[in-house]
Amino acid sequence: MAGRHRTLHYVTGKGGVGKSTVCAALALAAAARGERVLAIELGQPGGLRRLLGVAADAAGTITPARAAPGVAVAWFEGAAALGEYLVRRLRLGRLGRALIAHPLYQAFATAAPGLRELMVIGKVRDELVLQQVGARPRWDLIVVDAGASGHALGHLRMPAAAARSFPSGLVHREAARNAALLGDRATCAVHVVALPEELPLAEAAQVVVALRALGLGGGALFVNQCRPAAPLGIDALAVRLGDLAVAPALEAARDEVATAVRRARRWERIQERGVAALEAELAMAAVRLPRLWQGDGLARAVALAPLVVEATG
Amino acid sequence: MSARSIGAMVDGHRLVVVVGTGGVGKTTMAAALALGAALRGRRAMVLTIDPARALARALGLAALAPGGEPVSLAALPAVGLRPAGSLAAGMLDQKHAWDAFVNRHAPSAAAARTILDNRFYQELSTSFAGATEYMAIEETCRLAESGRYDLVVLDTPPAAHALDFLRAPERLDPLLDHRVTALLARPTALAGAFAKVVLRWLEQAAGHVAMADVSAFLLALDTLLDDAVARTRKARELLRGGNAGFVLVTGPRQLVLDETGAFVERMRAVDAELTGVVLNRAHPAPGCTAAEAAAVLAELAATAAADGAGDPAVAWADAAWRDAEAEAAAEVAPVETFLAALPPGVAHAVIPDATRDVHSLADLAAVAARLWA
Ligand SMILES: Nc1ncnc2c1ncn2[C@@H]1O[C@H](COP(=O)(O)OP(=O)(O)OP(=O)(O)O)[C@@H](O)[C@H]1O
Ligand SMILES: Nc1ncnc2c1ncn2[C@@H]1O[C@H](COP(=O)(O)OP(=O)(O)OP(=O)(O)O)[C@@H](O)[C@H]1O
Ligand SMILES: [Mg+2]
Ligand SMILES: [Mg+2]
Repeated sequence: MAGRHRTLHYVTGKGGVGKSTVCAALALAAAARGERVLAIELGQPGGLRRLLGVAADAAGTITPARAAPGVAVAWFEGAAALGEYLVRRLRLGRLGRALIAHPLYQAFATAAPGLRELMVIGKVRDELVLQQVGARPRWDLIVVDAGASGHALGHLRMPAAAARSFPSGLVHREAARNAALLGDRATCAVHVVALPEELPLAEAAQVVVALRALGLGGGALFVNQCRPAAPLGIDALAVRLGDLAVAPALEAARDEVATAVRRARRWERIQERGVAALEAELAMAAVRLPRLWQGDGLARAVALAPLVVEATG
Repeated sequence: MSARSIGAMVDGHRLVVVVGTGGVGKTTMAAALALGAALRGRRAMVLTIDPARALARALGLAALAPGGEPVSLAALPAVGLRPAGSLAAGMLDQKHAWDAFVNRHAPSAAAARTILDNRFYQELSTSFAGATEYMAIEETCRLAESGRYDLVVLDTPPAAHALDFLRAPERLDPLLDHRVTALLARPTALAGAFAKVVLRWLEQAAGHVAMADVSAFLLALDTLLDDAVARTRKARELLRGGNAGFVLVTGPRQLVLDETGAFVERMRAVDAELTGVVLNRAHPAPGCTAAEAAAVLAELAATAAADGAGDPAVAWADAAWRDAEAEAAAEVAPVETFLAALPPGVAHAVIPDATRDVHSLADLAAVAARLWA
């Protein structure tokens, strides 16, 4: 099974669009197939961990998800990853901590901000290539909830940028290795999630274009919380509903329902127009995920899993 | 509604910062707050970051002037509003703001050039976590000091956590350290044995060329260090000790509780004031029972069938109603928990989801009315 499909999935998109839900869907589906899955959250711990029922702990710790057997969760954070990495690679041992506290190191790490992102990707790579006894990889699938798109793009462009800024040395070698991993389409995919509204769709298009410019195209484009497309005759029906003769006791209810239908139709129009424009601009098909109101966040992720897996396989 | 409205709290401030995660409506609320203040007679200014195109147009931000341009309120009397004050709007361009900052504080044009041309400066000014926030604070200081406005409302960039904004000034601290530049300027003469180890070690990691670049950058930075430190201190004072009010924007479906709780704690720790919370894009419960709605929909289906109108359309309308009902129902519990957990003294407002983008001045005025309700 491993090696047949891509093993490293990054997910990004604007705030609140459903990134963590898509990550959880991917992770749960793989775990259900019997794969060992690591779900990683970047930056501040948050949605994904709550979704999978993992309490907050220190950066870098890997915790089994109680709500999702077969899935382990971790959050990786830049400053900690950088320090840890340098101490390990430079074999600094006990001296490491003192060095990291030194103002020179602090200034350096701040002035060269790409370093932190770089080391986080390095940690993801370490997890991906870790071998267990019998040479079986430790994880069959890694999903990374890369957070909001602005942040994620900054993150994903760092290895290539750092390989240029640091023409030699340890950082250069590390950057080149990470850039190669992200750019390897047989292994890694970056998926973008959007909502079916004007601004979020326009922003998603920009993100996909930016990813392509970085050589990181090829992932799926999800439009989450889609309404079903309206059938012909809906506008005539909406008018009829507004004018429907009902008992006086039902007039308020009629107006209420009519308003809800008109609203839904207006949002559906925005959705259809926006998705069509997006698909035309990017010359690719978007994957629509339906709006779901039943159950909690985890139940939604489970319900969306088949659609998500089909689009990312 | 709370005892005092968010608007009433804003009336008592000269600086208001609007924070929240991506896409929740920060820019919209910042504009609405400034407009509301203008309607009440104040000279208000909103400094936006990355406004939606339609909003930028409504604020006249197409021809961009970072310092703030007057917004024409001529459209308001048509909707029955007579602004007693004035509104100005500006748009922050981060790269431009950083370059201006360097030019302002560098001792000479040549010193400024050295910094502007440095590769690490170019990275830092565009990609440093907190770079936009830092410049927004800096620009706000300047606006507040200008004396041209009674109220400055500061929009903020999307952050994973609202807290990110408060941390922005601290993030630069490691750079604003004379000890570092002294070490880099004269490593052999000044540095202790341990600093030399650190230098050697960094060079091993970064390579010669990059290390030289970073050093050059930090040394150049030293020339504007004292000014920058003074500005940072000033910025912190401006944000804390009750000088600024913070408005947190959030949505009914996000896990707002954790965020708000953490935010309140953190703000208390730095002596900043959480003025209010806006729960934006809420879906209030429908004003009829499920049974009544079902009766209406059955009636619709019957007349539609009699006229030969399509079944799919009826089914779609039916689904649309159930979707609206479920959406509102899904929000009840989170919203209740959220309101119950708000600390005393923090105002809140619930703004319903509009059926279209909120961007015209009239739309903003309608939002403002709710913020002052
Ligand atoms: N298809 C859907 N239908 C209805 N609700 C959904 C759907 N997908 C996600 N949600 C809900 O929307 C909210 C936001 O989803 P999620 O946390 O996955 O977004 P996110 O992009 O990770 O957000 P953040 O930027 O805050 O991390 C959650 O309450 C989630 O359960
Ligand atoms: N109450 C509302 N009803 C309907 N649409 C709204 C409402 N509030 C905001 N919007 C719309 O939501 C979109 C996002 O709003 P806005 O740009 O203010 O968010 P933001 O938090 O500033 O986003 P970002 O984090 O990307 O800066 C805009 O298209 C805006 O018109
Ligand atoms: Mg999330
Ligand atoms: Mg905004």
